Amino acid sequence: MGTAKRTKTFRDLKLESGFTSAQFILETQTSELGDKGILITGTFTDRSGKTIENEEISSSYSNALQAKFQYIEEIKGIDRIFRSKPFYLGIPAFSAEFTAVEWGNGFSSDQAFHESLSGVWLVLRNSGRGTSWTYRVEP
Amino acid sequence: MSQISVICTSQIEDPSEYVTYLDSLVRLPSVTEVVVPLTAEGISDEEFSAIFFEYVESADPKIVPIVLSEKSSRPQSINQAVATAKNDVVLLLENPVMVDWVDLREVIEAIEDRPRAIVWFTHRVLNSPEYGPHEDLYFRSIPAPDSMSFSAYAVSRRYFLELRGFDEEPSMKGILGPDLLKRHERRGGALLRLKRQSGVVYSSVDSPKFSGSINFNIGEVEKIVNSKASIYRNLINWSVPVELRVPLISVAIATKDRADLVGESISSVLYQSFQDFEIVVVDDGSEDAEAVQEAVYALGDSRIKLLRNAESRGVSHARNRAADATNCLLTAVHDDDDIMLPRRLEWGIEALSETTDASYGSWTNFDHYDGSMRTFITRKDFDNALVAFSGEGPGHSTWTIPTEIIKALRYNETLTSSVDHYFATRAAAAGVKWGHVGKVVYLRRVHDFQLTSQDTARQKSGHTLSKFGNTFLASSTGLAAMREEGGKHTYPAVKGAKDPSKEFSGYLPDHLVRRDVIIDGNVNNALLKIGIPTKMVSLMEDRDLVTGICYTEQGLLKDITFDELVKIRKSGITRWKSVGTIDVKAEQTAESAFLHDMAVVEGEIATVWEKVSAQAVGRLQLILAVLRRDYKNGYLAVVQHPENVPELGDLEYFSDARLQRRLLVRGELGVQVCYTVFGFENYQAAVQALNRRHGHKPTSPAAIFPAVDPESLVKVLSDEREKRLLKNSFDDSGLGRIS
Repeated sequence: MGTAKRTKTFRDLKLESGFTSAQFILETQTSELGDKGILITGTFTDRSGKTIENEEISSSYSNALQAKFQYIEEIKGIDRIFRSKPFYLGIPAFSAEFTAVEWGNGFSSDQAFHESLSGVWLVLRNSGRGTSWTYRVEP
Repeated sequence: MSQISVICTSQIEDPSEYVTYLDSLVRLPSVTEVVVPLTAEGISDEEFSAIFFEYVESADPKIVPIVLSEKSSRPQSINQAVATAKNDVVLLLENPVMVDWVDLREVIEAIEDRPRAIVWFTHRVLNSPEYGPHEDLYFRSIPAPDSMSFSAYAVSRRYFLELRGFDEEPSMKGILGPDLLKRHERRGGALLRLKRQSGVVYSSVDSPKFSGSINFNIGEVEKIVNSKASIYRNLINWSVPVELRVPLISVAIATKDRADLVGESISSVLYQSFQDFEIVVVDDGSEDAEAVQEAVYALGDSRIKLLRNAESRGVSHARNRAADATNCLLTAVHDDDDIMLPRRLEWGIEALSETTDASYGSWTNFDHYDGSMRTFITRKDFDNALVAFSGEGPGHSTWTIPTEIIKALRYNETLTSSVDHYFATRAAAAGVKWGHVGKVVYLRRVHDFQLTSQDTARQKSGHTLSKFGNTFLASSTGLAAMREEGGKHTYPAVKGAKDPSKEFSGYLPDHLVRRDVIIDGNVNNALLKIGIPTKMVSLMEDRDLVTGICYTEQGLLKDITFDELVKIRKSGITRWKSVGTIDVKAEQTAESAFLHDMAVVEGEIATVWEKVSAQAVGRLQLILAVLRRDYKNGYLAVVQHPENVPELGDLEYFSDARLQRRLLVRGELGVQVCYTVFGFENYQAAVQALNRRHGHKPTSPAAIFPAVDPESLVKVLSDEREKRLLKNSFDDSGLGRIS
């Protein structure tokens, strides 16, 4: 049995005009993220507050986490800036909850894990409306 | 005794010269007042003020000073001065010319004789001011330069106001007389030049000038004047107070046995964007005249005149009687069962020009019973060639026509139907140029009791008669040529032609629609004034956070009746739009309205959120468009305020923003969103600002609109990081510190 994975949740992210894709861009304050790993799981709710089914979400699925997720990936040649592939949604989401989960060898400390997530940006697009936003996700 | 008001359009900078000049004006016989505008600089100059006001107080009560300021431009001030003039005739001076040799009584008499003529004075320049009053100055002077051709002209106060004064639009760059006289000429107005002694004003080579006069050369002036083809200006916003204006247009309505519909028809006039009208209703012998009277008087508007024929004399007689009963320059034709769209009068007047004596437009039929709609588009430039080609005419209720044309040509009282077609054809034959406004201007009610549905056969024969008339005017070859010419008349592109319901259903009668109204302006005040504050379901306010200026206040009102549309317009709101949903059972009881509201409460909060946010996003897109117009790659940083509406945003972090706004949108059921919005020249500046804000551990979410492309975001974050590292290493080295 492995040790419990560290997690950090970004709750209650709302976009009243709705979005159909969400992509993370992340600036880390530590050097550890390059060697370790973080993935982001996402759950999305529609206009009426109902959770959007997994079939409507285009991303990887983890049986262990029972959730749709995307890896945070290193960008070659650019120091300490990371990104995920976008989550694509079949119907617009109006709010979302994302959880960052460590994977692989794990971080050296809670502080290192949290510092890795200090500069989080989220690019949201609504393909139907043609609107798009870049969120600065606050801790 | 005939009297005149003299209105100087500016001041002479030198106070002594100014006082001397004014003194020469007040001493003229027939002059009872001299209106003198003062520039703000003049007033603030101590020497000027001392000399000028000493003269005004001690010398002559005829001097009436008015102050020009940034809040009131020169055209606005002069328009107001003419509107408040004591006399019916005013002499306008654009240069400080000597009018000593003009017989002002002759000027006054000429205008009293022809109230819609303008007396224009030739301006000549003397090489010495020393000539005596008995010398023949004409031969001792030379013509003034072209740029001074509009130094002096006299006009009746009423006619000046009918022409809507000097154009107050900044695009006219303060040009006064050249534009006014050109517009007068476009409507075929007479320019009178009096005999030599009375028709000439003089200045000398060393005469002082009015400060602030236009310094354009005549070519530039002509270019600006010709840039606008219309005759009548300041139609919606005009600095002249409403109570001093004169009606420009008479809305002529012939009615018979339509007491149930005429009120709605007149209401559609009362909500017009252009408000300086009178309405002449001719009741052509209705069986229940009292009911018609009651319906008209219930509207409580003093601009309505009701005339009555004891017995029916026919529609042509009623139309002629309406024309005889008005002194307005223009007439708009309207029917007692039809509904004008809110800008019908404005469009009709605006279209009149040198090449359009009378205007007409398209219309949309609506079914009185189910609200279904269909638009009819008429071809452009109605004339006899078009009659020869297709027989079609300009729809009667779309006409805006000089009243004098109706008075001169008259409707043919022997016809009972197609009277308009016959009139239009005769007018065209007489040389009247018809022009299409290119828009749907009214909604025509289709029901079982309309004249055209009862009298189709005679209607058709009337059209044939008009068409047949041409055959007497041309040979068969000529007629063929006319037909060919008529076929070349094209159709205008008309908004609302394809989907009239979407565009116009908001203006259908109450029994056919549920109506929402979007209004711009001081929404809260307007609603309190007209007593329907509870009908507002949403409000959007866009305010500058630095200056406090409100850019937009837009309200959405629900379930508005036709009468309330009139109240909204009368409250001073000029920008509004009605959106209707066709519902033939729309006349709801209070109970059903309550049930409707309850349904909203139970199930629709999410929908309200969506509507409110869509409004906010729509506005953000507009702000963004403004930013991108000024800064090609503009981006917005938007901060959401879920709890309180901030008085000031996070200015500290966004002090370099080019634009700082607060956007508040309130919807039904207490739904509210509030954003502060900061505009940046590029995405780099926006990202940097959010990073700065992030350093202060904010609690409310913030975002950039539109999204920064992920590649670009990565690049800017990376660059920022490089800069930070460089700065830190520089700081750590101690090289950057000042000891």
